[in-house]
Amino acid sequence: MTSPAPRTHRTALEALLWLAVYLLAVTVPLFALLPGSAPGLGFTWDFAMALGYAGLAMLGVQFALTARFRRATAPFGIDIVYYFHRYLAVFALAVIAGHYAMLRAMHPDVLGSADPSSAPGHMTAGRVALVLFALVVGIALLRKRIDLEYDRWRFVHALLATAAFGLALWHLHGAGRFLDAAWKQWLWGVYGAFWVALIFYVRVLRPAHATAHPWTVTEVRPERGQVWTLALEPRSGTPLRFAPGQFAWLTLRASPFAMREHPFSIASSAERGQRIEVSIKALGDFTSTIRDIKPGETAWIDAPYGTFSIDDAPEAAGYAFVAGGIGIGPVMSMLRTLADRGDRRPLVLFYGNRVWDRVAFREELDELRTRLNLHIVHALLEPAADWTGERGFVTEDVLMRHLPIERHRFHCFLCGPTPMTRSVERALGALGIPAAHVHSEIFDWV
Amino acid sequence: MTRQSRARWLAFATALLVVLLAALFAWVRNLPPEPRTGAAAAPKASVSRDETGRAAFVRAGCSGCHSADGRGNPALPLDGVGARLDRETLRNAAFALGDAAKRFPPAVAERKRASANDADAEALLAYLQQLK
Repeated sequence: MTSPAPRTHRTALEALLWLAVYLLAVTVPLFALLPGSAPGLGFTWDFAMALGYAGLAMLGVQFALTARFRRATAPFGIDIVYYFHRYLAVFALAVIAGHYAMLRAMHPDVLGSADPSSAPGHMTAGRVALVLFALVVGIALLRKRIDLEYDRWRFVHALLATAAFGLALWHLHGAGRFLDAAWKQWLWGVYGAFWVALIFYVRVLRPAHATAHPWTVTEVRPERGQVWTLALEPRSGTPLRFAPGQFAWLTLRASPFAMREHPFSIASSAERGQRIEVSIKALGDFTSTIRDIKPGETAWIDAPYGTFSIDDAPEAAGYAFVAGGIGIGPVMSMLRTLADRGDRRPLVLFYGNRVWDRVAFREELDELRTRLNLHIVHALLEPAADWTGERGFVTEDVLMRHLPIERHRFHCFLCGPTPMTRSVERALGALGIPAAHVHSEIFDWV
Repeated sequence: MTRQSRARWLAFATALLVVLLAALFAWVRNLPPEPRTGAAAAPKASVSRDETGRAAFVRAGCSGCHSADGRGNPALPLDGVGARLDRETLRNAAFALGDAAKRFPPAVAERKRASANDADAEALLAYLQQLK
Protein backbone atom coordinates (compact mmCIF):
# COMPACT_ATOMS: atom_id res chain seq x y z
CA MET A 1 0.00 0.00 0.00
CA THR A 2 1.04 3.65 -0.08
CA SER A 3 2.37 6.09 2.48
CA PRO A 4 -0.11 7.82 4.80
CA ALA A 5 -0.46 11.43 3.62
CA PRO A 6 -0.80 10.81 -0.12
CA ARG A 7 -3.28 8.06 0.65
CA THR A 8 -5.68 10.42 2.43
CA HIS A 9 -5.27 12.97 -0.34
CA ARG A 10 -5.81 10.34 -2.94
CA THR A 11 -9.07 9.27 -1.30
CA ALA A 12 -10.27 12.89 -1.20
CA LEU A 13 -9.29 13.35 -4.83
CA GLU A 14 -11.05 10.17 -5.82
CA ALA A 15 -14.16 11.31 -3.95
CA LEU A 16 -14.09 14.63 -5.82
CA LEU A 17 -13.55 12.82 -9.09
CA TRP A 18 -16.62 10.65 -8.55
CA LEU A 19 -18.71 13.69 -7.60
CA ALA A 20 -17.62 15.29 -10.87
CA VAL A 21 -18.58 12.10 -12.69
CA TYR A 22 -21.99 12.35 -11.03
CA LEU A 23 -22.54 15.94 -12.13
CA LEU A 24 -21.36 15.13 -15.64
CA ALA A 25 -23.67 12.12 -15.86
CA VAL A 26 -26.60 14.32 -14.87
CA THR A 27 -25.88 17.49 -16.85
CA VAL A 28 -23.91 16.51 -19.95
CA PRO A 29 -26.96 14.94 -21.63
CA LEU A 30 -28.74 18.22 -20.89
CA PHE A 31 -26.06 20.53 -22.28
CA ALA A 32 -25.60 18.25 -25.26
CA LEU A 33 -29.05 19.48 -26.32
CA LEU A 34 -27.81 23.05 -26.72
CA PRO A 35 -25.84 23.01 -29.97
CA GLY A 36 -27.97 23.64 -33.01
CA SER A 37 -31.19 23.91 -31.10
CA ALA A 38 -33.85 26.51 -31.83
CA PRO A 39 -33.52 29.79 -29.94
CA GLY A 40 -34.61 30.01 -26.32
CA LEU A 41 -38.29 29.98 -25.50
CA GLY A 42 -38.12 32.15 -22.41
CA PHE A 43 -36.22 31.51 -19.18
CA THR A 44 -39.04 29.97 -17.16
CA TRP A 45 -39.99 27.59 -19.95
CA ASP A 46 -36.43 26.45 -20.63
CA PHE A 47 -35.68 26.21 -16.90
CA ALA A 48 -38.75 24.04 -16.34
CA MET A 49 -37.67 21.79 -19.22
CA ALA A 50 -34.09 21.62 -17.93
CA LEU A 51 -35.38 20.58 -14.50
CA GLY A 52 -37.31 17.78 -16.17
CA TYR A 53 -34.28 16.46 -18.05
CA ALA A 54 -31.91 16.86 -15.07
CA GLY A 55 -34.41 15.30 -12.67
CA LEU A 56 -34.78 12.26 -14.89
CA ALA A 57 -31.00 11.95 -15.17
CA MET A 58 -30.69 12.17 -11.37
CA LEU A 59 -33.21 9.38 -11.00
CA GLY A 60 -31.25 7.32 -13.52
CA VAL A 61 -28.07 7.72 -11.49
CA GLN A 62 -29.99 6.55 -8.41
CA PHE A 63 -29.89 3.05 -9.92
CA ALA A 64 -26.12 3.30 -10.32
CA LEU A 65 -25.59 4.45 -6.73
CA THR A 66 -26.98 1.24 -5.28
CA ALA A 67 -25.53 -1.01 -7.99
CA ARG A 68 -22.54 -1.64 -5.70
CA PHE A 69 -19.75 -0.60 -8.02
CA ARG A 70 -16.70 -1.14 -5.86
CA ARG A 71 -14.49 1.54 -7.40
CA ALA A 72 -17.09 4.29 -7.18
CA THR A 73 -18.14 3.48 -3.61
CA ALA A 74 -14.66 2.87 -2.18
CA PRO A 75 -13.60 6.51 -1.54
CA PHE A 76 -16.81 7.20 0.40
CA GLY A 77 -17.71 3.92 2.05
CA ILE A 78 -20.75 2.08 0.79
CA ASP A 79 -22.88 3.12 3.78
CA ILE A 80 -22.37 6.78 2.84
CA VAL A 81 -23.27 6.03 -0.77
CA TYR A 82 -26.55 4.47 0.39
CA TYR A 83 -27.29 7.52 2.53
CA PHE A 84 -26.37 9.72 -0.42
CA HIS A 85 -28.83 7.70 -2.52
CA ARG A 86 -31.53 8.22 0.09
CA TYR A 87 -31.10 11.98 0.52
CA LEU A 88 -30.55 12.58 -3.17
CA ALA A 89 -33.83 10.83 -3.93
CA VAL A 90 -35.66 13.50 -1.93
CA PHE A 91 -33.89 16.28 -3.84
CA ALA A 92 -34.40 14.57 -7.21
CA LEU A 93 -38.11 14.30 -6.41
CA ALA A 94 -38.09 18.02 -5.58
CA VAL A 95 -36.45 18.78 -8.95
CA ILE A 96 -39.07 16.75 -10.82
CA ALA A 97 -41.85 18.33 -8.77
CA GLY A 98 -40.30 21.73 -9.62
CA HIS A 99 -40.53 20.86 -13.32
CA TYR A 100 -44.24 20.16 -12.92
CA ALA A 101 -44.97 23.04 -10.54
CA MET A 102 -43.30 25.59 -12.80
CA LEU A 103 -45.37 24.48 -15.78
CA ARG A 104 -48.52 24.43 -13.65
CA ALA A 105 -47.83 28.00 -12.48
CA MET A 106 -46.39 29.64 -15.60
CA HIS A 107 -47.76 27.61 -18.50
CA PRO A 108 -50.93 25.90 -17.24
CA ASP A 109 -52.42 25.50 -20.73
CA VAL A 110 -49.58 23.16 -21.72
CA LEU A 111 -50.55 20.57 -19.13
CA GLY A 112 -54.07 20.27 -20.50
CA SER A 113 -56.54 17.81 -19.07
CA ALA A 114 -55.34 15.41 -16.37
CA ASP A 115 -58.08 12.97 -17.37
CA PRO A 116 -56.20 9.94 -18.76
CA SER A 117 -59.02 9.21 -21.23
CA SER A 118 -58.48 12.50 -23.05
CA ALA A 119 -54.87 13.45 -22.20
CA PRO A 120 -52.07 12.24 -24.49
CA GLY A 121 -50.43 9.04 -23.23
CA HIS A 122 -47.05 10.62 -22.65
CA MET A 123 -48.57 13.34 -20.44
CA THR A 124 -50.40 10.76 -18.33
CA ALA A 125 -47.15 8.78 -18.16
CA GLY A 126 -45.39 11.86 -16.78
CA ARG A 127 -48.08 12.42 -14.14
CA VAL A 128 -48.12 8.78 -13.06
CA ALA A 129 -44.29 8.73 -12.93
CA LEU A 130 -44.30 11.73 -10.62
CA VAL A 131 -46.83 10.08 -8.29
CA LEU A 132 -44.87 6.80 -8.34
CA PHE A 133 -41.58 8.55 -7.56
CA ALA A 134 -43.24 10.29 -4.62
CA LEU A 135 -44.55 6.91 -3.45
CA VAL A 136 -41.12 5.28 -3.80
CA VAL A 137 -39.48 8.01 -1.73
CA GLY A 138 -42.29 8.16 0.84
CA ILE A 139 -42.35 4.42 1.42
CA ALA A 140 -38.54 4.25 1.71
CA LEU A 141 -38.45 7.00 4.32
CA LEU A 142 -41.36 5.57 6.30
CA ARG A 143 -40.44 1.88 5.93
CA LYS A 144 -39.43 1.35 9.55
CA ARG A 145 -42.28 3.42 10.92
CA ILE A 146 -44.91 1.54 8.94
CA ASP A 147 -43.20 -1.74 9.83
CA LEU A 148 -42.71 -2.87 6.25
CA GLU A 149 -40.55 -5.98 6.06
CA TYR A 150 -37.14 -5.35 4.44
CA ASP A 151 -37.41 -8.02 1.71
CA ARG A 152 -40.90 -6.99 0.70
CA TRP A 153 -39.93 -3.32 0.69
CA ARG A 154 -36.87 -3.93 -1.48
CA PHE A 155 -38.96 -5.74 -4.06
CA VAL A 156 -41.66 -3.05 -4.12
CA HIS A 157 -38.98 -0.34 -4.19
CA ALA A 158 -37.19 -1.79 -7.21
CA LEU A 159 -40.44 -2.50 -9.03
CA LEU A 160 -42.00 0.94 -8.48
CA ALA A 161 -38.74 2.76 -9.25
CA THR A 162 -38.22 0.85 -12.50
CA ALA A 163 -41.84 1.39 -13.56
CA ALA A 164 -41.66 5.10 -12.75
CA PHE A 165 -38.39 5.46 -14.65
CA GLY A 166 -39.86 3.70 -17.69
CA LEU A 167 -42.93 5.98 -17.63
CA ALA A 168 -40.68 9.04 -17.30
CA LEU A 169 -38.71 7.94 -20.39
CA TRP A 170 -41.99 7.59 -22.29
CA HIS A 171 -42.98 11.07 -21.15
CA LEU A 172 -39.64 12.43 -22.34
CA HIS A 173 -39.99 10.70 -25.68
CA GLY A 174 -43.46 12.18 -26.25
CA ALA A 175 -42.97 15.63 -24.78
CA GLY A 176 -39.25 16.21 -25.29
CA ARG A 177 -39.29 19.09 -27.72
CA PHE A 178 -35.56 19.60 -27.37
CA LEU A 179 -35.02 16.30 -29.10
CA ASP A 180 -35.34 18.08 -32.42
CA ALA A 181 -32.48 16.34 -34.20
CA ALA A 182 -31.99 12.65 -34.84
CA TRP A 183 -28.66 12.60 -33.02
CA LYS A 184 -30.25 14.11 -29.90
CA GLN A 185 -32.98 11.48 -29.93
CA TRP A 186 -30.28 8.89 -30.38
CA LEU A 187 -28.23 10.32 -27.51
CA TRP A 188 -31.14 10.27 -25.09
CA GLY A 189 -32.21 6.88 -26.38
CA VAL A 190 -28.77 5.50 -25.56
CA TYR A 191 -28.85 7.29 -22.21
CA GLY A 192 -32.17 5.69 -21.30
CA ALA A 193 -31.00 2.32 -22.61
CA PHE A 194 -27.89 2.57 -20.43
CA TRP A 195 -30.01 2.75 -17.27
CA VAL A 196 -32.21 -0.08 -18.43
CA ALA A 197 -29.06 -2.13 -19.09
CA LEU A 198 -27.80 -1.27 -15.62
CA ILE A 199 -31.02 -2.54 -14.05
CA PHE A 200 -30.60 -5.71 -16.11
CA TYR A 201 -27.02 -6.10 -14.88
CA VAL A 202 -27.94 -5.65 -11.23
CA ARG A 203 -31.12 -7.70 -11.22
CA VAL A 204 -30.23 -10.44 -13.71
CA LEU A 205 -26.53 -10.78 -14.52
CA ARG A 206 -25.20 -10.36 -11.01
CA PRO A 207 -27.66 -12.83 -9.44
CA ALA A 208 -26.83 -15.22 -12.30
CA HIS A 209 -23.16 -14.96 -11.37
CA ALA A 210 -23.99 -15.63 -7.72
CA THR A 211 -26.11 -18.65 -8.70
CA ALA A 212 -23.17 -20.12 -10.54
CA HIS A 213 -20.95 -19.79 -7.43
CA PRO A 214 -22.83 -21.38 -4.53
CA TRP A 215 -21.48 -21.73 -1.01
CA THR A 216 -22.35 -24.31 1.63
CA VAL A 217 -23.23 -23.65 5.25
CA THR A 218 -20.83 -25.90 7.16
CA GLU A 219 -21.58 -24.87 10.73
CA VAL A 220 -24.24 -23.00 12.70
CA ARG A 221 -22.90 -22.06 16.12
CA PRO A 222 -24.63 -20.17 18.94
CA GLU A 223 -22.63 -17.42 20.64
CA ARG A 224 -23.44 -15.40 23.73
CA GLY A 225 -26.10 -12.68 23.48
CA GLN A 226 -28.46 -14.19 20.89
CA VAL A 227 -25.73 -14.20 18.26
CA TRP A 228 -25.42 -16.98 15.72
CA THR A 229 -22.32 -17.67 13.71
CA LEU A 230 -22.63 -19.20 10.28
CA ALA A 231 -19.58 -20.77 8.67
CA LEU A 232 -19.62 -20.88 4.87
CA GLU A 233 -17.36 -22.62 2.39
CA PRO A 234 -17.24 -22.11 -1.38
CA ARG A 235 -18.22 -25.20 -3.36
CA SER A 236 -15.74 -24.23 -6.03
CA GLY A 237 -12.96 -24.31 -3.45
CA THR A 238 -11.79 -20.83 -4.52
CA PRO A 239 -11.16 -18.79 -1.37
CA LEU A 240 -12.76 -15.35 -0.99
CA ARG A 241 -10.22 -12.55 -1.01
CA PHE A 242 -11.33 -9.76 1.29
CA ALA A 243 -9.97 -7.16 3.69
CA PRO A 244 -10.77 -7.68 7.39
CA GLY A 245 -13.80 -5.56 8.30
CA GLN A 246 -15.49 -5.84 4.91
CA PHE A 247 -18.97 -7.25 4.52
CA ALA A 248 -20.92 -9.60 2.28
CA TRP A 249 -24.46 -9.67 0.90
CA LEU A 250 -25.85 -13.01 1.99
CA THR A 251 -28.77 -14.94 0.50
CA LEU A 252 -30.18 -17.95 2.36
CA ARG A 253 -33.15 -20.13 1.49
CA ALA A 254 -34.04 -18.04 -1.56
CA SER A 255 -32.81 -17.63 -5.09
CA PRO A 256 -30.27 -14.85 -5.66
CA PHE A 257 -32.83 -13.50 -8.15
CA ALA A 258 -35.41 -13.08 -5.39
CA MET A 259 -33.70 -9.97 -3.95
CA ARG A 260 -33.69 -11.48 -0.47
CA GLU A 261 -30.09 -10.71 0.33
CA HIS A 262 -28.88 -9.04 3.50
CA PRO A 263 -25.58 -7.33 4.31
CA PHE A 264 -23.44 -8.80 7.10
CA SER A 265 -19.89 -8.16 8.21
CA ILE A 266 -17.49 -11.02 7.72
CA ALA A 267 -16.23 -11.88 11.20
CA SER A 268 -13.55 -14.42 10.32
CA SER A 269 -9.90 -13.88 9.46
CA ALA A 270 -9.06 -12.48 6.03
CA GLU A 271 -6.19 -14.97 6.00
CA ARG A 272 -8.69 -17.82 5.86
CA GLY A 273 -10.81 -17.08 2.80
CA GLN A 274 -11.65 -20.73 2.18
CA ARG A 275 -14.04 -20.69 5.16
CA ILE A 276 -15.72 -17.44 6.09
CA GLU A 277 -17.90 -16.76 9.09
CA VAL A 278 -20.64 -14.23 9.65
CA SER A 279 -22.02 -13.57 13.12
CA ILE A 280 -25.61 -12.45 13.19
CA LYS A 281 -27.66 -11.18 16.10
CA ALA A 282 -31.29 -12.29 16.17
CA LEU A 283 -32.91 -8.86 15.90
CA GLY A 284 -35.27 -8.75 12.92
CA ASP A 285 -37.46 -10.84 10.63
CA PHE A 286 -34.55 -12.39 8.79
CA THR A 287 -31.92 -12.55 11.53
CA SER A 288 -34.28 -14.44 13.86
CA THR A 289 -34.43 -17.31 11.36
CA ILE A 290 -30.65 -17.87 11.31
CA ARG A 291 -30.83 -20.40 14.14
CA ASP A 292 -32.98 -22.66 11.96
CA ILE A 293 -30.38 -22.88 9.20
CA LYS A 294 -28.89 -26.37 8.97
CA PRO A 295 -25.35 -27.32 7.96
CA GLY A 296 -25.34 -28.44 4.33
CA GLU A 297 -27.74 -25.76 3.15
CA THR A 298 -26.79 -23.63 0.17
CA ALA A 299 -25.88 -19.96 0.55
CA TRP A 300 -24.99 -17.30 -1.99
CA ILE A 301 -22.77 -14.38 -1.28
CA ASP A 302 -21.90 -11.20 -3.11
CA ALA A 303 -18.67 -9.95 -1.56
CA PRO A 304 -16.51 -8.26 -0.49
CA TYR A 305 -17.74 -4.69 0.03
CA GLY A 306 -16.87 -1.81 2.30
CA THR A 307 -13.85 0.26 3.26
CA PHE A 308 -14.04 -0.23 7.01
CA SER A 309 -10.73 -2.04 7.38
CA ILE A 310 -7.32 -1.88 9.02
CA ASP A 311 -5.94 -2.64 5.56
CA ASP A 312 -7.09 0.84 4.59
CA ALA A 313 -4.69 2.27 7.20
CA PRO A 314 -1.73 -0.11 7.18
CA GLU A 315 0.66 2.60 8.33
CA ALA A 316 -0.95 3.08 11.78
CA ALA A 317 1.25 2.75 14.88
CA GLY A 318 -1.58 0.82 16.50
CA TYR A 319 -5.32 0.39 16.33
CA ALA A 320 -8.17 1.19 18.68
CA PHE A 321 -11.51 -0.50 18.19
CA VAL A 322 -14.79 0.66 19.69
CA ALA A 323 -17.59 -1.87 19.32
CA GLY A 324 -21.14 -1.74 20.62
CA GLY A 325 -23.04 -5.03 20.80
CA ILE A 326 -22.97 -6.93 17.52
CA GLY A 327 -20.77 -4.17 16.09
CA ILE A 328 -18.02 -6.54 17.27
CA GLY A 329 -18.44 -8.56 14.00
CA PRO A 330 -16.03 -6.64 11.73
CA VAL A 331 -13.74 -6.02 14.72
CA MET A 332 -13.46 -9.78 15.28
CA SER A 333 -12.38 -10.13 11.68
CA MET A 334 -9.70 -7.50 12.12
CA LEU A 335 -8.42 -8.97 15.40
CA ARG A 336 -8.40 -12.54 14.08
CA THR A 337 -6.57 -11.37 10.96
CA LEU A 338 -3.97 -9.45 12.96
CA ALA A 339 -3.43 -12.57 15.09
CA ASP A 340 -3.03 -14.76 12.00
CA ARG A 341 -0.53 -12.28 10.59
CA GLY A 342 1.49 -12.26 13.82
CA ASP A 343 1.06 -8.47 14.09
CA ARG A 344 2.55 -7.15 17.36
CA ARG A 345 1.39 -3.53 17.19
CA PRO A 346 -0.45 -2.22 20.26
CA LEU A 347 -4.23 -2.69 20.10
CA VAL A 348 -7.01 -1.46 22.36
CA LEU A 349 -10.57 -2.78 22.17
CA PHE A 350 -13.43 -0.90 23.86
CA TYR A 351 -16.42 -3.21 23.90
CA GLY A 352 -19.77 -1.96 25.18
CA ASN A 353 -22.55 -4.34 26.18
CA ARG A 354 -25.56 -4.42 28.46
CA VAL A 355 -24.73 -7.39 30.70
CA TRP A 356 -21.67 -9.59 31.13
CA ASP A 357 -23.42 -12.87 30.30
CA ARG A 358 -24.31 -11.62 26.83
CA VAL A 359 -20.88 -10.41 25.74
CA ALA A 360 -20.39 -12.27 22.46
CA PHE A 361 -16.92 -13.77 21.86
CA ARG A 362 -15.65 -12.79 25.31
CA GLU A 363 -13.81 -16.11 25.82
CA GLU A 364 -12.21 -15.96 22.38
CA LEU A 365 -11.18 -12.34 22.99
CA ASP A 366 -9.38 -13.48 26.16
CA GLU A 367 -7.63 -16.12 24.13
CA LEU A 368 -6.68 -13.56 21.42
CA ARG A 369 -4.94 -11.52 24.12
CA THR A 370 -2.30 -14.21 24.30
CA ARG A 371 -1.57 -13.94 20.56
CA LEU A 372 -1.80 -10.14 20.24
CA ASN A 373 -0.57 -7.05 22.05
CA LEU A 374 -4.21 -6.41 22.94
CA HIS A 375 -5.77 -4.48 25.80
CA ILE A 376 -9.50 -5.11 26.21
CA VAL A 377 -11.84 -2.68 27.98
CA HIS A 378 -15.32 -4.03 28.64
CA ALA A 379 -17.94 -1.41 29.46
CA LEU A 380 -21.25 -2.65 30.82
CA LEU A 381 -24.51 -0.73 31.07
CA GLU A 382 -25.98 -3.09 33.68
CA PRO A 383 -23.01 -4.55 35.54
CA ALA A 384 -23.27 -6.85 38.55
CA ALA A 385 -22.48 -5.31 41.92
CA ASP A 386 -19.01 -6.86 41.99
CA TRP A 387 -18.03 -5.66 38.47
CA THR A 388 -14.65 -3.94 38.55
CA GLY A 389 -14.49 -2.88 34.88
CA GLU A 390 -15.91 0.21 33.20
CA ARG A 391 -19.57 1.08 33.73
CA GLY A 392 -21.95 2.89 31.36
CA PHE A 393 -21.15 4.06 27.86
CA VAL A 394 -17.73 4.42 26.28
CA THR A 395 -17.19 8.08 27.12
CA GLU A 396 -14.27 10.46 26.61
CA ASP A 397 -13.09 9.66 30.14
CA VAL A 398 -13.08 5.92 29.45
CA LEU A 399 -11.19 6.44 26.19
CA MET A 400 -8.63 8.69 27.86
CA ARG A 401 -7.99 6.23 30.69
CA HIS A 402 -7.08 3.41 28.33
CA LEU A 403 -5.67 4.90 25.14
CA PRO A 404 -1.87 5.17 25.15
CA ILE A 405 -0.06 8.48 25.01
CA GLU A 406 0.87 8.00 21.33
CA ARG A 407 -2.81 7.61 20.49
CA HIS A 408 -2.66 10.33 17.79
CA ARG A 409 -0.70 7.85 15.67
CA PHE A 410 -3.39 5.19 16.10
CA HIS A 411 -6.24 4.56 13.71
CA CYS A 412 -9.62 4.02 15.35
CA PHE A 413 -12.46 1.81 14.10
CA LEU A 414 -15.98 2.40 15.40
CA CYS A 415 -18.86 0.03 14.82
CA GLY A 416 -22.07 0.08 16.80
CA PRO A 417 -25.38 1.89 17.21
CA THR A 418 -25.41 5.35 15.62
CA PRO A 419 -25.57 7.34 18.92
CA MET A 420 -22.47 5.47 20.16
CA THR A 421 -20.58 6.08 16.94
CA ARG A 422 -21.49 9.74 16.98
CA SER A 423 -20.46 10.40 20.58
CA VAL A 424 -17.22 8.39 20.30
CA GLU A 425 -16.30 10.28 17.09
CA ARG A 426 -16.64 13.52 19.02
CA ALA A 427 -14.71 12.22 22.03
CA LEU A 428 -11.82 10.98 19.89
CA GLY A 429 -11.65 14.39 18.23
CA ALA A 430 -11.47 16.01 21.66
CA LEU A 431 -8.61 13.64 22.57
CA GLY A 432 -6.57 14.91 19.64
CA ILE A 433 -7.03 12.03 17.24
CA PRO A 434 -7.15 13.39 13.68
CA ALA A 435 -10.51 12.89 11.93
CA ALA A 436 -8.71 11.09 9.08
CA HIS A 437 -7.69 8.42 11.64
CA VAL A 438 -11.28 7.74 12.72
CA HIS A 439 -13.16 5.16 10.66
CA SER A 440 -16.74 4.27 11.30
CA GLU A 441 -19.37 2.16 9.77
CA ILE A 442 -23.00 3.14 10.02
CA PHE A 443 -24.81 0.25 11.58
CA ASP A 444 -28.31 0.36 10.17
CA TRP A 445 -27.94 1.88 6.73
CA VAL A 446 -30.42 -0.38 4.97
CA MET B 1 -19.68 16.20 11.39
CA THR B 2 -20.88 12.61 11.40
CA ARG B 3 -20.70 10.48 8.29
CA GLN B 4 -24.47 10.56 7.97
CA SER B 5 -24.78 14.34 8.04
CA ARG B 6 -21.83 14.54 5.65
CA ALA B 7 -23.85 12.43 3.20
CA ARG B 8 -26.84 14.71 3.68
CA TRP B 9 -24.84 17.85 2.94
CA LEU B 10 -23.14 16.22 0.01
CA ALA B 11 -26.53 15.30 -1.46
CA PHE B 12 -27.89 18.79 -0.84
CA ALA B 13 -24.87 20.50 -2.42
CA THR B 14 -25.00 18.15 -5.40
CA ALA B 15 -28.71 18.77 -5.98
CA LEU B 16 -28.19 22.52 -5.65
CA LEU B 17 -25.45 22.36 -8.28
CA VAL B 18 -27.73 20.41 -10.60
CA VAL B 19 -30.48 23.05 -10.22
CA LEU B 20 -27.96 25.84 -10.82
CA LEU B 21 -26.68 24.07 -13.93
CA ALA B 22 -30.27 23.70 -15.16
CA ALA B 23 -30.76 27.45 -14.63
CA LEU B 24 -27.50 28.06 -16.50
CA PHE B 25 -28.82 25.95 -19.36
CA ALA B 26 -32.00 28.06 -19.55
CA TRP B 27 -30.01 31.28 -19.25
CA VAL B 28 -27.58 30.34 -22.03
CA ARG B 29 -30.48 29.49 -24.31
CA ASN B 30 -32.06 32.86 -23.74
CA LEU B 31 -29.01 35.06 -24.05
CA PRO B 32 -29.50 38.20 -26.13
CA PRO B 33 -29.15 39.17 -28.93
CA GLU B 34 -30.96 36.00 -29.99
CA PRO B 35 -34.44 37.36 -30.71
CA ARG B 36 -37.07 35.51 -28.79
CA THR B 37 -39.48 33.94 -31.12
CA GLY B 38 -43.03 32.80 -31.11
CA ALA B 39 -45.13 32.90 -28.05
CA ALA B 40 -42.28 34.08 -25.87
CA ALA B 41 -42.56 37.39 -27.69
CA ALA B 42 -46.09 37.53 -26.34
CA PRO B 43 -47.06 41.03 -27.37
CA LYS B 44 -50.43 39.80 -28.48
CA ALA B 45 -51.50 38.55 -25.08
CA SER B 46 -53.65 41.61 -24.62
CA VAL B 47 -55.54 41.19 -27.88
CA SER B 48 -59.15 40.39 -27.12
CA ARG B 49 -60.32 37.16 -28.66
CA ASP B 50 -63.32 34.96 -28.66
CA GLU B 51 -62.95 33.06 -25.36
CA THR B 52 -65.10 30.14 -26.58
CA GLY B 53 -62.54 29.48 -29.31
CA ARG B 54 -59.63 29.81 -26.89
CA ALA B 55 -61.31 27.38 -24.47
CA ALA B 56 -61.85 24.92 -27.33
CA PHE B 57 -58.14 25.26 -28.20
CA VAL B 58 -57.12 24.29 -24.65
CA ARG B 59 -59.80 21.62 -24.28
CA ALA B 60 -58.75 19.85 -27.47
CA GLY B 61 -55.22 19.67 -26.07
CA CYS B 62 -53.70 21.96 -28.74
CA SER B 63 -51.85 23.95 -26.08
CA GLY B 64 -49.85 20.86 -25.10
CA CYS B 65 -47.79 21.37 -28.26
CA HIS B 66 -48.68 24.87 -29.47
CA SER B 67 -48.84 28.36 -28.09
CA ALA B 68 -51.10 31.19 -29.17
CA ASP B 69 -51.39 34.66 -27.69
CA GLY B 70 -48.45 33.91 -25.41
CA ARG B 71 -50.07 30.91 -23.73
CA GLY B 72 -49.38 27.22 -24.23
CA ASN B 73 -46.25 25.38 -25.36
CA PRO B 74 -43.90 27.97 -26.87
CA ALA B 75 -42.04 25.37 -28.91
CA LEU B 76 -44.59 25.52 -31.76
CA PRO B 77 -46.25 28.95 -31.85
CA LEU B 78 -49.36 29.42 -33.98
CA ASP B 79 -49.44 33.20 -33.92
CA GLY B 80 -49.93 34.44 -37.46
CA VAL B 81 -51.26 31.14 -38.72
CA GLY B 82 -54.61 32.79 -39.59
CA ALA B 83 -52.83 35.11 -41.98
CA ARG B 84 -50.73 32.39 -43.61
CA LEU B 85 -53.34 29.70 -44.21
CA ASP B 86 -56.84 29.76 -45.62
CA ARG B 87 -59.70 28.14 -43.72
CA GLU B 88 -59.61 24.79 -45.54
CA THR B 89 -55.83 24.37 -45.21
CA LEU B 90 -56.15 25.34 -41.57
CA ARG B 91 -58.91 22.79 -41.08
CA ASN B 92 -56.81 20.05 -42.70
CA ALA B 93 -53.77 20.90 -40.57
CA ALA B 94 -55.72 21.24 -37.34
CA PHE B 95 -57.60 17.96 -37.73
CA ALA B 96 -55.04 16.01 -39.81
CA LEU B 97 -57.38 15.59 -42.75
CA GLY B 98 -56.41 14.61 -46.28
CA ASP B 99 -52.75 14.89 -47.27
CA ALA B 100 -51.99 17.02 -44.20
CA ALA B 101 -52.23 13.86 -42.08
CA LYS B 102 -48.95 12.60 -43.51
CA ARG B 103 -47.05 15.46 -41.94
CA PHE B 104 -47.70 14.25 -38.40
CA PRO B 105 -46.58 11.25 -36.41
CA PRO B 106 -49.44 8.71 -36.34
CA ALA B 107 -50.28 9.30 -32.66
CA VAL B 108 -50.49 13.06 -33.20
CA ALA B 109 -52.59 12.66 -36.37
CA GLU B 110 -54.97 10.43 -34.48
CA ARG B 111 -55.39 12.95 -31.67
CA LYS B 112 -56.00 15.72 -34.17
CA ARG B 113 -58.58 13.70 -36.10
CA ALA B 114 -60.41 12.88 -32.88
CA SER B 115 -61.14 16.58 -32.36
CA ALA B 116 -62.65 17.08 -35.83
CA ASN B 117 -66.16 16.13 -34.75
CA ASP B 118 -66.15 18.02 -31.43
CA ALA B 119 -69.12 20.33 -30.96
CA ASP B 120 -66.78 23.30 -30.68
CA ALA B 121 -64.57 22.34 -33.64
CA GLU B 122 -65.86 25.30 -35.65
CA ALA B 123 -65.19 27.70 -32.76
CA LEU B 124 -61.63 26.33 -32.60
CA LEU B 125 -61.15 26.94 -36.32
CA ALA B 126 -62.54 30.45 -36.02
CA TYR B 127 -60.08 31.12 -33.21
CA LEU B 128 -57.14 29.90 -35.32
CA GLN B 129 -58.26 32.17 -38.15
CA GLN B 130 -58.15 35.12 -35.78
CA LEU B 131 -54.43 34.48 -35.09
CA LYS B 132 -53.15 36.99 -37.59
